[in-house]
Amino acid sequence: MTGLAGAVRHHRLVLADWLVGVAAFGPPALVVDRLLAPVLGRLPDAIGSLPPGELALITRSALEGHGEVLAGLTAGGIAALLVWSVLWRSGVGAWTVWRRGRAPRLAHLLGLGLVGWWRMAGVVVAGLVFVGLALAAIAALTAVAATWSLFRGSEMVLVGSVLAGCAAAVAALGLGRAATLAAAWRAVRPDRPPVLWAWLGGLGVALRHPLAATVALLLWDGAAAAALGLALLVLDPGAAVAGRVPALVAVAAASLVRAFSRVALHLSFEPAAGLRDPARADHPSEAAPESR
Amino acid sequence: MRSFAPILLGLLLAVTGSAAPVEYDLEVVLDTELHRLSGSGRLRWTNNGADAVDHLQLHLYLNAFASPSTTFMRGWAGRVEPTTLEPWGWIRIDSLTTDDGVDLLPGLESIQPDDGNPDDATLVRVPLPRPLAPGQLVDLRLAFTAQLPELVARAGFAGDFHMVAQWYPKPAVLGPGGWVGHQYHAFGEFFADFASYRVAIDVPDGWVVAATGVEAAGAEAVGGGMQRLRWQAERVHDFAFAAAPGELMEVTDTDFDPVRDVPPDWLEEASARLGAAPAELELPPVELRMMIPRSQRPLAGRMVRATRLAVAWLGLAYGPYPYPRLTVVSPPLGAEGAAGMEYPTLVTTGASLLELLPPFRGRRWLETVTVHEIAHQYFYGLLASNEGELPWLDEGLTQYSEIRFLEALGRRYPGATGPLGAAFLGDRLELARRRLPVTVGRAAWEHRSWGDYAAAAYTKPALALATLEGLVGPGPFARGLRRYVERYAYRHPDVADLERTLSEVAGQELGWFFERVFAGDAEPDWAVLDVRQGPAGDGEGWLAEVELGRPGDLVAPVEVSIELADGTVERRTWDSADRWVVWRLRLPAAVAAVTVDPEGVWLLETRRADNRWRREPSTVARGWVRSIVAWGLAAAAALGGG
Repeated sequence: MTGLAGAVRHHRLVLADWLVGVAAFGPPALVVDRLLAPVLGRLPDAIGSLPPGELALITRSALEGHGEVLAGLTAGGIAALLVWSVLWRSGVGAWTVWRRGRAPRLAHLLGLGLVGWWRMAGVVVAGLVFVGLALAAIAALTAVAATWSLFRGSEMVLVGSVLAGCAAAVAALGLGRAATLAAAWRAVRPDRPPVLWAWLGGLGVALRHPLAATVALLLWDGAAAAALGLALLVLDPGAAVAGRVPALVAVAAASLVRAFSRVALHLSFEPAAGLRDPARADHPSEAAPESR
Repeated sequence: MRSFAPILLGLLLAVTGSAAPVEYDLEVVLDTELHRLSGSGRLRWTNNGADAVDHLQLHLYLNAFASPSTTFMRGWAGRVEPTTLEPWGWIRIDSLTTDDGVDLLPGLESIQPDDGNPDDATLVRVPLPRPLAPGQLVDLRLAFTAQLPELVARAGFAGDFHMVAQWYPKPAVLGPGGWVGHQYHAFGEFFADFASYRVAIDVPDGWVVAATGVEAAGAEAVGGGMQRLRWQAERVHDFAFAAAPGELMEVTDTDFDPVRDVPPDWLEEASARLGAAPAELELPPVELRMMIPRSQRPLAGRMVRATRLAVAWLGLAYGPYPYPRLTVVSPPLGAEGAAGMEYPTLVTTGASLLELLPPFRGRRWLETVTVHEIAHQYFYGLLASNEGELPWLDEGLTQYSEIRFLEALGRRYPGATGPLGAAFLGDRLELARRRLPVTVGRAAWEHRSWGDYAAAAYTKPALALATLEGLVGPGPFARGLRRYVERYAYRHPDVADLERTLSEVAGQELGWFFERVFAGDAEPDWAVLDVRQGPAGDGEGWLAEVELGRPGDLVAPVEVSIELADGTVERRTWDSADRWVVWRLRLPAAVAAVTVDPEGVWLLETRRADNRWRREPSTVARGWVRSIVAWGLAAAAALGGG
């Protein structure tokens, strides 16, 4: 419940994360809208009356030649969101160390985040490197197994290796994510451990408490995915709710749920005993991230 | 059912008339250690031409795999790695004599009429001791050795699985202008005359064989741990077989029963479309022989189901499958080079147990490749067009049939058509992607890449046929295709034959379409350039100027709809002979919308963004797409922000 309560307490942060998510992708969204507006405006109101495939072809025609620009803007949006993500996690962590029991002001939070931005960025990079290496290793092993199965003509080995590879990839992604989330809290400890040690410590936490970490990931990432899935249902002209709820409202609400879930997930990994000044006699214990 | 097959074959011969110009009587021993064939027998060839011939041309297709320098391997390099085969493949004629003992081998020479490549020996010229007059027959005795290559393209072996195709010397086709012999190229396939085959195949005991035609007799022991299987096939233009140990592959016999396997709604649709009573569309039962890896047993039911449905749909569309048996071979894992290929009365599909798992399952690859290859039994098997010079005449018609079948399957089994949904959308997007205009009427080997060849042989022809269907109407088009199959079965049709038949049945001259779309490379693209209007000065109605343009090079009549503010819709046809036209119209109400090709008949047109004009822009589509874009970006944010 700490994640839920924490996200509620940090509601301004949730709102800010939502707005940053919208703003980060504003440029590509605007470009797409400008390119599509003239052609889509010519379509009949009853889109269902269009010949099959018409909308896909028209969209393709309108966006043709602009793929690189759109890809660049989208990549820029993802990069901006990553920078922001590092900033607020650093700020939340720093505020937690020095908290005085008051609800944080957003500007104060972000100011603290700027101070520790590079350390937090290092933790995130460590996580990305781990996931990248793990996925590459899994892909290589899966390819070897699949190739062997081709030579031996063994369908079961092929299916098994693909399934195992997929499962391992999901596990690696989950472990990397959980380790990074736990490491984010270790990085803001007053004793300022080296970034790599902080990340390895986070990995240790995730490995020692796999169930709790998995539940937290499933709960909050699942909530975000479910919200996006429901929004997609609203967008489907064939769905029962389509047309009853304005589609953009549904997407906006799903984005807000996504932002709330991100903050709540991060707070779920706060050490249970809290973060204290190591100069004090009682050092912090490394309790498991509870299912909150 | 098996015991009746030879009888049915005899009946087929009696019904269909004169014997084929070629007769094969072959014996072959498959050495499963060396993966080599030792063949011998008789080849009787009749000069069905109008002039005497002084030589034969024989295809030796397996020599395409003899070295990296052959025409085929040069074209194949870059499509598949490695370009070194282990082992290489080849075929060698060891002896060739006439029935009166004249040795023809000394005069045999390789010829390369297509590219002059001296390293290519896939076509040979065999001088005859004396000219062969029209109607005369030459009776040859031959012995040959063929080495199967590593299986990368159609023929070869992978482990113990042997796909034995293009394994014997095969006469080229003698056309009105002379021999129509071509080398074996990386793009394009084969061309041969209809023939009768008697083939005895020796394989090790415990091995199973699936072949063109039907068994002429049961297996007989020949000693040395070998068994002999005798096969026969009539009025087919190729003979292929697959052989493998019984531990690897299993052979099961089932059937196509029209009462059980023809969906009533499909029969009803076909009856309405063809204007024929259901009784006229009755299909005969067909023996089905399935050769599948034992490891793919979980997919067997689905394979049989796909085969039965394909036979049903194609039979309703083009007429009954004309042979007693259809054999389906699913190559085992590692033998994918043999997958997705057609031979008379035998097809190879391709499947993997991965198809049991989502998301592979939803792709319906198994059903797609099954219907595609069985459709080739009509367009290639029965209508033996020249696959090298006119690849689209079989591939394009087959691709069109495949998509229509998947549409029908999707109506029956929701989700069967895959993620894109709309029929032909995948092909339209592929065509839109191509930088250069696609020339359909080009020989297969004249294309610069596999992508160009595929677009010209499969993609654009399928779209063109669907466009033609929209122009003449589904009923006349369906009847026209069926008439084409009926009229040219067991012959070598060309484009003119298809055009003539469709024109005749549709009751309109379609030569312009064939010339501009199939022979040329002009692309259709029309646009509404502008609409200017105002109330008429005399107070009676509106005066409008509708300006249409033709950015594309294809000149063709196209329908234009003009929707007025009072709700009425006027339809006109523009011949698009000029690049643009301005219609000055007096109308009872203001123009609300103008659309070029409102029904989307011209599936070949891929640039559709400028086909419409509206007086008041709509916000509905824009709002919908905005929502999709917003969702996509929200998902990107969820992934990117971590």
